[in-house]
Amino acid sequence: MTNDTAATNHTAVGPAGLPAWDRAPVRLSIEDVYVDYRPRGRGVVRAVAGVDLNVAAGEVVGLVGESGCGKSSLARVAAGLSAPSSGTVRFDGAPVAPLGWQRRPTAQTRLQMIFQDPGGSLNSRRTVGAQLLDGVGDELPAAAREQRLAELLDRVGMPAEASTRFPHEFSGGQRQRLAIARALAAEPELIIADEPVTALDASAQAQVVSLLLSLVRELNMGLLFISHDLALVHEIADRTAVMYLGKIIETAPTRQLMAAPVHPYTRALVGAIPQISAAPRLPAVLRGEVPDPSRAPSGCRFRPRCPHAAEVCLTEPPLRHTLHTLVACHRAEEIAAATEEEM
Amino acid sequence: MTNKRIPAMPARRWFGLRPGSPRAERRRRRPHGRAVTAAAIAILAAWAVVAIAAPLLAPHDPLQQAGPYYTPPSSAHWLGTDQLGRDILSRIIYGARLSLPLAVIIVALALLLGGGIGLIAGYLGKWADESLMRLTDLVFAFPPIILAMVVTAAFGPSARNAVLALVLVSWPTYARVVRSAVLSIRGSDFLHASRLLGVGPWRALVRDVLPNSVGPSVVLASLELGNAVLMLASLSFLGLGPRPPAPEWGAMIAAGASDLSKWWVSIVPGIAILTTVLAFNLLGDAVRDWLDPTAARASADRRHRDRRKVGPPPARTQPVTAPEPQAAPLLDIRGLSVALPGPAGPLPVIKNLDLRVDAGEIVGIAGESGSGKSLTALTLLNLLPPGARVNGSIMFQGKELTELDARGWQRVRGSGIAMVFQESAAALHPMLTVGLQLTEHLRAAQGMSKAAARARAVELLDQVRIPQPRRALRAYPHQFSGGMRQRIAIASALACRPRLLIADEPTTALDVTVQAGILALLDELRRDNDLSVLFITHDLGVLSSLTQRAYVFYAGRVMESGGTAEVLTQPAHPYTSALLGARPHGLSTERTLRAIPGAPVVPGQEPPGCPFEPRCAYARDECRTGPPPVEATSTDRTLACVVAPDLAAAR
Repeated sequence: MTNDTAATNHTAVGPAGLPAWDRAPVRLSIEDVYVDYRPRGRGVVRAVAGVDLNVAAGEVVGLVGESGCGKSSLARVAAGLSAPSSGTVRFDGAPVAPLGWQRRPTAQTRLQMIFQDPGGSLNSRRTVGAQLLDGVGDELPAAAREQRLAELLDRVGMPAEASTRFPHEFSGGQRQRLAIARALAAEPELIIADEPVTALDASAQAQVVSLLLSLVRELNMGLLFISHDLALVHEIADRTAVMYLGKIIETAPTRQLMAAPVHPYTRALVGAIPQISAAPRLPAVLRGEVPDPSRAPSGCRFRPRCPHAAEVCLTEPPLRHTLHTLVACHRAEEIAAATEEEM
Repeated sequence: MTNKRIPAMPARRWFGLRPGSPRAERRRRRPHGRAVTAAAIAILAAWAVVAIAAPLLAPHDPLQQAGPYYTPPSSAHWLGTDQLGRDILSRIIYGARLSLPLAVIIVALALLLGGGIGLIAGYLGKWADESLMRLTDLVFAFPPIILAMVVTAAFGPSARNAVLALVLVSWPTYARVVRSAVLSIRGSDFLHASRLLGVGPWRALVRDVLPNSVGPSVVLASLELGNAVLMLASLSFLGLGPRPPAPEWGAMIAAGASDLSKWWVSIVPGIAILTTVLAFNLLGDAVRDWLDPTAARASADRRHRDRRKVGPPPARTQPVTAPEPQAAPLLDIRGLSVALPGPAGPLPVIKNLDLRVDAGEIVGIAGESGSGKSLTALTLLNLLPPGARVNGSIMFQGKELTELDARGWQRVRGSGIAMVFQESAAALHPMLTVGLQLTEHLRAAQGMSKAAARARAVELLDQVRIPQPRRALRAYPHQFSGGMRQRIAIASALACRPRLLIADEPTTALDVTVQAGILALLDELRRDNDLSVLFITHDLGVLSSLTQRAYVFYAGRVMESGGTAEVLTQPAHPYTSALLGARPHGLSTERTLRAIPGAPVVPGQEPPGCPFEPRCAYARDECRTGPPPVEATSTDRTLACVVAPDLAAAR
């Protein structure tokens, strides 16, 4: 294992042969991760079934999927909140240690997470300032800590007075900004944001997304942006991975993914986004429902719902490079050709 | 700026009470509860004074003979003497010195021991949790008083052993309460967040877990004080408490119990026990209400019901003698204003609303949270919170809804207007089958036979495209996915064939592919059943694809309305444009997200002029003078903005 490989030597070519998005060093690398749960009476639920994903410095990677696809399980494992059932998560080349009975090593506090519910991710019994200071070294003199606090709040567009107040005194959007400020306190190199704006109103959503994007650019952080909303991911991510039933089924530069989706599921997701237009139409309906992960279909997992399913789909499709994208579909080329003919 | 942190936090904050919450308001509304609490505090304060000042108050030595045996109450001995001729009044007074502090010690020790064990069990989890919880099970398996008796009998009766025995039997309750609080915090995001920042596990325990888990056990402790007095008295009654001749109330009752003709010997300590236990229990209730207001809220709400005020309907703006050329709209709201009760008087939340829904039409209401869109829906069903004031006119199928009585509303809610909510799960009872819920509803509302109701339920489920409707009737709500549950909720809303379906963000909690199915279903229901839908959403894409006409709400006012396609592709109001700009555009190739500066208006803190003025890029002086009038800009379009015409001209 190359635990001590310096981050700078570690370029953006993942174990699955993911294309180098960028020449920037890889910050987070998720390697063949599986996450299994054993709920009572339901056998083994495989929430994540072998995922490879890299995030480089300065890169925003979107991870899109619908509820139950395993994206939050993957986020928790990637942040080190829990251990994967198998596979490795590396941060700056070193394996991420799941939270245990030790203090998190300082090197790994550079990997931070932002949660969906800004009400639940701040301790309602402590002042904002006290919580932000958790991430600032205790060894700093009081005046320096004070200044750092003001800096952090300023960074997320909040007044310095916010530090003496309690989380409930702020609106949802403001709380999410405070949560971001807390993550920034540890001077992160990579942030995992799990549905960070889902609980917010439209105007607050735009504020938080713009803030995240500007932080990534200014601080050269990596960002893994997890969301169920493809339209939103399109606004922020350089590269997007689509997850279905625990597997990544397509990865491509975001614009390309939106403009020319290849996998039938990605097509369905893009087609289901309600559009504003002068000649409105209802979004396209995808047949069936997401199956229970404990009873995932054999072969291609999307097969029972796929309009293009054929006999070949009874075997599991590998992720492969074709049509300028990385896709897990046996019939990608045929479907693309058929669509072109229609047009 | 100073950095005073936790020390500045008052005790109530620690238990999760928010300054400025309506709690103080609520307490003021409950004078009855307050008087009882005051009486309880007075009784306990009196006993405390008695205990402290015992040497001054007691007329005799409680341990020495002061007169003949068994003297009934007299002027020499106000409460009589006991079997050894000791003055009962003095013994009662000195007894307070024993019982009250011992009760406090028992509860404090049990809270510390049980709380500590619960904290460790919950935080460590796994084997520690398993073994500690089995230990509590073991203690719970014995009747507490028997266990306490066994312990004191084994170690010999004394005050110390009685206290230890009672701590031993009462700690598991605290352990369980604290453990469950800790378990819920262990999975919380804020704990994870601070651990990720590098806060060590023990420091996180003190900073994040402890303050959030002590609340419930403090409530429990205050309720347990009375119990401790009683248990201690029980042990003493059995001769297992503080050793004689200590003046313990329970032991004093025992002395008189053998001969009831000497009634004063047992009655007087009995009254002492009764008053303290009762006072402790009432105080415990008050502490619980103070820390956990949900219990108190229910009774306060009940008292406030049926005080809803409905103002007189204003004159219709159009003369009744001049009928409109087209068919009358299904729903016609004119000049509707709604105010909710607030701490400083009525809080206007909907202001001068005009809204129309025609038969077979899907009309959208768009806006951010707090814009009044959900309150509009609740007004149409008379489901506003108690004390709300409604003014204006709501005509539905030619009837004025604001004049209806409770029965009239019931008819409207049954077969006129139905509603679907965002949380479909909340609308369905989790413990009853879908079939039972649908048929009960049909049988109660329409007097159908069991078989007919069943047939109709199958028809309804089929209508909302639930596969295998007959089998679905036997299933429970949790067996369905979110999308399917929302379909069942729609089926239930359609049961009595309403003319208008209000859908309040019915797809917000759903995935896009599932949302697409629900939108298609609503459109189908509109076409096939001539159903009108009032669709509330914050998603302008959904608004565009489903609705024919739209109203854009902000701060309880309609900013702009008209045909949906027109409003969204040629917005006239700066707020509509801003909302469109703040929305991810999906297929467009450019990144266009433009955040709206500032935050939505808080009800009661609206600026004097246009509510959007503080956030508007085009605001001028005249925007600050008063709310902009709603003007019709074409046959089917309204606009509330004084700047918009100039903006349109400049474009």
